[in-house]
Amino acid sequence: MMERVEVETHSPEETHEFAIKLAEKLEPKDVITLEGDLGAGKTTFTKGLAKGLGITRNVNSPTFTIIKEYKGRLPLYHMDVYRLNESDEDLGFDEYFEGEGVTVVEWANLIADYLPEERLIISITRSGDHSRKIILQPVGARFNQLCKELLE
Amino acid sequence: MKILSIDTSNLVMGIALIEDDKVVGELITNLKKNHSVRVMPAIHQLLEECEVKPSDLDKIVVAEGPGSYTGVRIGVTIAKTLAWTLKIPLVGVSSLEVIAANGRYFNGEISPIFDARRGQVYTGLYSFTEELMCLEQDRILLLTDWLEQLKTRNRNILFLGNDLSIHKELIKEKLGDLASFGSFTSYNPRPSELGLLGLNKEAEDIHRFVPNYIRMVEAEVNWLAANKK
Repeated sequence: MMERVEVETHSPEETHEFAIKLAEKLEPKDVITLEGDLGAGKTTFTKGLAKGLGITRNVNSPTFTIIKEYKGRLPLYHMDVYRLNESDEDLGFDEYFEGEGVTVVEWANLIADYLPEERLIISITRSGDHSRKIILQPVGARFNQLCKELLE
Repeated sequence: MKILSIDTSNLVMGIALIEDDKVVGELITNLKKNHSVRVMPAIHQLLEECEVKPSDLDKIVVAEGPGSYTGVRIGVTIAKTLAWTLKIPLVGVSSLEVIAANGRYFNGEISPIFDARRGQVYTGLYSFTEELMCLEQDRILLLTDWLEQLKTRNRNILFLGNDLSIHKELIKEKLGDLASFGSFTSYNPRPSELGLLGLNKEAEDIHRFVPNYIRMVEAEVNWLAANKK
């Protein structure tokens, strides 16, 4: 089993490109949790995923709507559950996680109880002014396989 | 009295127009399509076909859940918006009760079923006397637990709902001859029945009205989380 995969990018464009490459390997019911400080590039990364899924609409933060849905090769469910802090409210997450599309969750630790066992944990950290370290931690066989393919 | 009823609790989208004691129009689809893009055009189309203007409506009845969270939210939001803007009463009815109404002529008790994942179902227990009565409140629980409870009642039970395809075998195994299943043609909730159920129900406070998701109690959530690991 793979522990984790680290990728270093040197510009927002490179981060974007990496996300596109990842998106091309995604399948229905894939769940990705995305962590990173403000300005680390979570939005850039999600925009890349959306592009890779064939989504043409502009992707922006769902901070206020909590969940946004986009149509592409697969639907993308983009969640920012920050506002659910301490409410412990189930919004029917299973319907998205087990639905037809790919789910990206920001602030996923706030809904830890509802997350599926198998998921891809991604964190983005600054390693320089423009460079970023993207760490992928696969949980489960499906994401282990995916990470292996990404490295090829 | 013109009543518009809306049910988007699950995959079935149902819209009906009742006028006094007549079902004037009824639209039902059972498709894996997004309700959010289809419901308003469908309401528009039905009213237009029936030559009824929104301002002619006297009441909105909506299926309030349980069911798909997303689905219930869409129906309830549209119903609230319509009732508020048209300044007419809004009534909510249990989505399970709507299905139970399809068992009107069954001699026994009726258990409507919606799948709730991981072996669980949303269900309740109903029967017809003069009108539809709720014997056991809507709930979410493991189907096996529900069947144990039903077994002790020792009554004939009619199961209804599109998710029975997943659960029929287990029900048959546990209840044997006590269990009946309608034909699949009685598995879609009918929005006209929804309208009828809401006919004499008290109106909701529109702003305060929220879906009835029937959440699990915290202990159950914790148990499930613990057992997933």
